[in-house]
Amino acid sequence: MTAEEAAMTRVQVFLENGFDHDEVVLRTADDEQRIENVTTRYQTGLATMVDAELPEHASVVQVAVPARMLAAETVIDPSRTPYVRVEATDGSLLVRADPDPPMYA
Amino acid sequence: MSEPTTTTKGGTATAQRTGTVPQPSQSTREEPRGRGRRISEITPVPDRIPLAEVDPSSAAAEAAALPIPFPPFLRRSGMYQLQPIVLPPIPVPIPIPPIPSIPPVDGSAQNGADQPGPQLTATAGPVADIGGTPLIPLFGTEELRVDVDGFKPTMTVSGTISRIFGGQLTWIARVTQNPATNAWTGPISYRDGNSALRPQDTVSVRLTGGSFLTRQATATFSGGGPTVTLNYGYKTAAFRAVAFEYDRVSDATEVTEFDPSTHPVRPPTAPTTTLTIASAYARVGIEVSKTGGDSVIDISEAGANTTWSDQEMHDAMQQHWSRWVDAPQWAAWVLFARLHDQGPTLGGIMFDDIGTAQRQGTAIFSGSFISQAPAGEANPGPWVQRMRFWTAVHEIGHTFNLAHSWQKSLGTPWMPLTDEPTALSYMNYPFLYPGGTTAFFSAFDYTFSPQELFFLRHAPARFVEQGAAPWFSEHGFEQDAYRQLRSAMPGPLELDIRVHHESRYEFLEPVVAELRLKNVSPTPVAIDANVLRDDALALVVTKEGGTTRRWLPFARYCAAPEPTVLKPGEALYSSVFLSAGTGGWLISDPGTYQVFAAADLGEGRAALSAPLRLEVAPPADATAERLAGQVFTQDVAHTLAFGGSRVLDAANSALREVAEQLPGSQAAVHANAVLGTPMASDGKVLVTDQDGRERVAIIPSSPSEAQQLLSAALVDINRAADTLGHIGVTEQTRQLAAVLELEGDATASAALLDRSADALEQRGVLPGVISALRRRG
Repeated sequence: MTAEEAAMTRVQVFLENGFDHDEVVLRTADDEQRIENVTTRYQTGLATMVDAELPEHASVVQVAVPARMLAAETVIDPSRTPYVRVEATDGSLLVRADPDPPMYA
Repeated sequence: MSEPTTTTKGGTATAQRTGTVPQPSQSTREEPRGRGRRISEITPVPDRIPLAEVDPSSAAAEAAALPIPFPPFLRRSGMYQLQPIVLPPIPVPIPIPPIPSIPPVDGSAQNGADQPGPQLTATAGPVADIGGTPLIPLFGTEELRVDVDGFKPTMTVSGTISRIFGGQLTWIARVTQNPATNAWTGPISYRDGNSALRPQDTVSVRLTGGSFLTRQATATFSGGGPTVTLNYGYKTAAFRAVAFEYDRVSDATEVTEFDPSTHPVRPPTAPTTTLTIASAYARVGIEVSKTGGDSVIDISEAGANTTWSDQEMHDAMQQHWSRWVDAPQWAAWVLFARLHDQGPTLGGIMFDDIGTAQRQGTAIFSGSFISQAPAGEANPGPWVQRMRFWTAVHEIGHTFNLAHSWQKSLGTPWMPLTDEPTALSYMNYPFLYPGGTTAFFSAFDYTFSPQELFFLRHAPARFVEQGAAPWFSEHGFEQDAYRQLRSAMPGPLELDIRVHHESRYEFLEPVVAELRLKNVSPTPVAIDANVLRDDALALVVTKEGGTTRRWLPFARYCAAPEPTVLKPGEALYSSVFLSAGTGGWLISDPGTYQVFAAADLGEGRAALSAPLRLEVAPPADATAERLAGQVFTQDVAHTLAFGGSRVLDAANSALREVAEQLPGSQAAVHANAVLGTPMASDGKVLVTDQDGRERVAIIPSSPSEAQQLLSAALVDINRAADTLGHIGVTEQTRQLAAVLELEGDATASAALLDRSADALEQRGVLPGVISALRRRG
């Protein structure tokens, strides 16, 4: 494990309301993930959960839904707010970071 | 705290939101499902009836002023029902068409615990073709839901009208009380289904009677159609009735009750006694019964990871739920497990979006966040109990098709709905409520929102009932209506439609079913002996993924009523060729079919069978496939239905090919039987002389050919009984025995009767039938 890897912190990104068979692109630091066929389950208000690695210091998390021309980003400190919630309702993307894990039922 | 530093770029809108509470959606309303008009908005529901709206002449006025919930014995809200009704058949002229010549076989159904009636496929007496005109009686039920007092009334009157062959209608009216008449009146502003069943614009309901027994609702429907007044008898205080079954995984904790008074964070209006899941729903008008025995499911069923996927829970539901069926039913399975595969962020889930009938199963995870009281919580025990209980009622709410409070406008709402992110409802997340969980529970009085109550109590059953699926309407037969009517018509007579056969039929094999109408009561019942053969009988065949069609017989019998008495345990029997009728072939292609039978018993009574499920296999070989074109014709259908023909040469030729080329098939048994039957006796046919005049000619019997063909049909009595049915094989046995007698071979005749009696006895046929065969006929 390199020193740089050791300094990475895991964050969890929760794709929540408003997704309907979307391709979602998640960019963190130098990493990019493409998550296909993202669809919100009405039972929980959650589509899927994605793990990402970020440097320990404040970092940018970018989320995009290219087919809907939606993109948003937020700066988070993963040591304080390791939970990122994303909604795609009302024609926009809302990205926010939380210190506590989200809850679904 | 959240970090709402959000920007949007390249999109169609910019979002800058703060806080953790989703904002009310401004999303475009989607067109609701259904076919009727829709109410434009949901009005707030008062906790108690405003005094001015209460009947001043009733004790309800006094009750409404009390700061306590409406006393149950005073409330008049609930379900009212018309007595099951049977509408008269539609009178139409019955033409007498030319028909194929028929063998002189007695076709009357007979009664008696020991006597199966002969096959209906043979005819006697006047015969009339119905020419596709529906003469079968229309069966129906009608219920009225009155929701004007009691716990959180929605000031609504709604009704559901069900006709097996006329469709179904749910109508809804928001009502106010007319102080002059005390009647609850309002416009019918929502319809789902066949609007012609209640075309009027306005309903006015008067509630009379005091005790449960005398309580009545008199509803007058007016405007937009003839004014109609109907009297409904009080049935129950509940608007719906549902059965829950609770099972627990061995490593999980089950919570089905909570006493709100155990936690100091509560409003004054919260219940002060222990709430159970059942009482929480009963409080809002949903009667809950419990099924099953609280099974404990071994954690090993979750697999090596000891957490549950949706599919694993669905499998467990199929295995452990005593009521499991992939069909709509007012029932749900509740699983108390420890953790979902998603982990502790998931407190519960209505996992059942798998299969045909969904929303039947739900789970609560005791190892999730709902069991983790926040740091500093002074009452962690009640806090956890409260969250577990809230989760259970919440997840069960999803089985009723209730969405989360902030999702109401999403998907396809049953009518335009508004998101209600600040609702104090079981369906809202306490942790998303403004102010968070503590703020939510300090105001939550353990109920649902007004629009949720309105949905639970009054929405069409097809939207609410667990497992409900889009119904058939294309052909006017409503499985929902059938099931409702069946449950609404318990009576002394039980109708069965059955086959003595595995459910899987060979390709080309005709389907012959038997009907039994049995007196299951302890007292004798008077009945028309012809009830299983005349207009009183209705049969419907549905093909899965295909069409639903009514079976229309080739012949109708215009018989005078023949009153008879069925003693307890006695039954009427008849046999029916189901594969085809005047509407063509109903059961032919490979696939799965369901058959429904209903009998009009007169005087407002009816008997409805449980559905009979059949499967038709694909062609076994190329020969069977090739013959299909010759067999699935109307002539062959006629010939099979009438037990043979002396004039339909093409049909006889096709059946001969079946007998010769598929000698080991069940279709060959039928072919030999119907080819042999006309040869067993003399028969009349209509012929045209050379001078053009018609006359009746006699075609003499051909005993040796009849013997050969009927013997081939009965070479294996058991196999023949499988496909011809017990009634059919008994008839064929008698026929062949008579031919053998004619041929002078009394020994063979007696041996055949004994062989047949032995086989049928082993198959459980009634002793009277067996002894009659042994008595040589």
